[in-house]
Amino acid sequence: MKLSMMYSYLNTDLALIEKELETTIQGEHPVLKQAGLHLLQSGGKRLRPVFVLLGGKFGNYDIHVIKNVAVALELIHTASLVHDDVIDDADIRRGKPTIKAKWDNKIAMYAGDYILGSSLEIITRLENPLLHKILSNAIVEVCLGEIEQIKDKYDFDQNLRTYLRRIKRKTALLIAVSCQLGAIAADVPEETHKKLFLFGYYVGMAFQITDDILDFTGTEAQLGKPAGSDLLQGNITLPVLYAMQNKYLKEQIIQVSELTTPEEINSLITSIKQSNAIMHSEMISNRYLAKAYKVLDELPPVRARNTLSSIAKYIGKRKY
Amino acid sequence: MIDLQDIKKKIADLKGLIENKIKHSYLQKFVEVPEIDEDKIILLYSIYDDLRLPGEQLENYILTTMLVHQALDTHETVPNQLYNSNDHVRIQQLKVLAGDYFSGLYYYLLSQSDDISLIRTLAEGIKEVNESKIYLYQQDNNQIDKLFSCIETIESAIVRKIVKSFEIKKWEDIATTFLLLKRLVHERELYMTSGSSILFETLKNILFPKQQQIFLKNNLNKEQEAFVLRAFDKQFENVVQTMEKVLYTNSNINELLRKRMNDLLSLSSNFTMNKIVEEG
Repeated sequence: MKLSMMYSYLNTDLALIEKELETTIQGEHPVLKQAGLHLLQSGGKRLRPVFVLLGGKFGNYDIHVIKNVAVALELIHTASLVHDDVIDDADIRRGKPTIKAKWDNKIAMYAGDYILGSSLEIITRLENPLLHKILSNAIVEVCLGEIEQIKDKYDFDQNLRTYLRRIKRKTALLIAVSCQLGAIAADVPEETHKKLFLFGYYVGMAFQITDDILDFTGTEAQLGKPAGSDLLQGNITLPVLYAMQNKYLKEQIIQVSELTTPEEINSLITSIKQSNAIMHSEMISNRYLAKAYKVLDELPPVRARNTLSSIAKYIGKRKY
Repeated sequence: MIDLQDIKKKIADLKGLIENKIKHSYLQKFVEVPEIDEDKIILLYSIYDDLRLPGEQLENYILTTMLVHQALDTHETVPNQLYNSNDHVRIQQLKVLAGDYFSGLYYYLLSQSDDISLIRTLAEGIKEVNESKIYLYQQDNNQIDKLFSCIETIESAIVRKIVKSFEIKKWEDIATTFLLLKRLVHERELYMTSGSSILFETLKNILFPKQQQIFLKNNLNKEQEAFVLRAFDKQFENVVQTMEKVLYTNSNINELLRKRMNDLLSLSSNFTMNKIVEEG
């Protein structure tokens, strides 16, 4: 089943969020208008808004309240992508030119900051202090995660714990708080919103591990970038950590540096794919998913619970 | 009124507090963050002190407002071209992240004290500043007044939002004029010493549209150069006059801020003196 079919009953509300995104992401300046439109048309799965809405379904769901959380989180995510493209010097994202490629770094920096400002303007329509404490902490942690990612590049001595902490900050946290903040905005009891946080965290971890696996197993057409790009850029992901348990592979992996070319790395990518590193990584991803299902079992039996379960299943099986 | 030494000590303490907050062991190794603007601290201290905020809240408000400025100033240093050397690439990457981190910290600190309204006020300011930065960067201002108003917004939108939200109107003129004049002094110095200033480039394009694509100082003849400078100075003198008026009509501005404003006026009068000498 297609991902969007799993939550098609949210379509009216998602359309409202899309409209809201459209009006808030565009400033008065034509460049901001174009950039905003460009970013929206570049799409994305809008996973975070979906998680926010589903979190809200466990409480007093009022779309006019919850939409603020959904829009703000998607904007925070968007702002970080616009800046990430400057960091990665990326010209293409989801098959479309990035803001920095279409204009330049300066415009990307200004647009990213503008979008972050918009997101905070929107989220402060809600005055719940807990919501702001959780979200602001997540934003700081995401930044720290990105700083760490740069620090850890080409560091082949890093361990599993370092990797897991990095992907928690980089990916899982924002998904976790999406589920939790949707619930908080719908006044759900503490016990429930904390469980929703855990669910999002486990799913987010599985999502990122799957992403890291796909970087090896996906095709260039599916990934929109050559396979093995992460390793080439010095990002030590779970498959690499497992592959390094093989002495022969480790010797080759630790040779990878800023000077390595895509051609030079091809055979290494094939060797990693053929090793059991991929299988071991899938097992870890599945363990996170199993934890996610377990938390779901402890949540009230509302329709959103089944949807969250389907999404978790999809994430575990996705191929690109 | 608190005496000069006391205020100086407070400002130094506040600067230390900000420096401490933006410290990050890894970032520090690679990124030289922009100098913390002491004048902004003095201005914010004067505004928040006027509101009779309790010590801790005053500190937190200054700290978080300065974090926003620091974030935007750090992002301003991200160049358009990433250098090829790996070390340089890393520095530029970390500049982006440092700015994002400082923005995150402002939100985090205000959320810890449940100051949601100030989070919103500063966020509105961030939006306005960045939109104006795009106008300036794209050289979209086709009138001199618009150009100077754009610079004014970039420099003072955040403080103006604060002043508006606390309904302390008297500070609007003081803050706006002080910050604008400071930027104009900086741009004029930049132009006179290096010939490169986005404000002057835009001004040239407004005054001599034929040269729209030529940004180098040398592409204008001497007369045209003098014309550009005169156009700038006309605006500049208006701001100087407003500043003098602001100082005259606001007798209760604290001693340190008054001193800084007077220092700026002295610097400005040097420009005028030079001009008289140049024009002979």
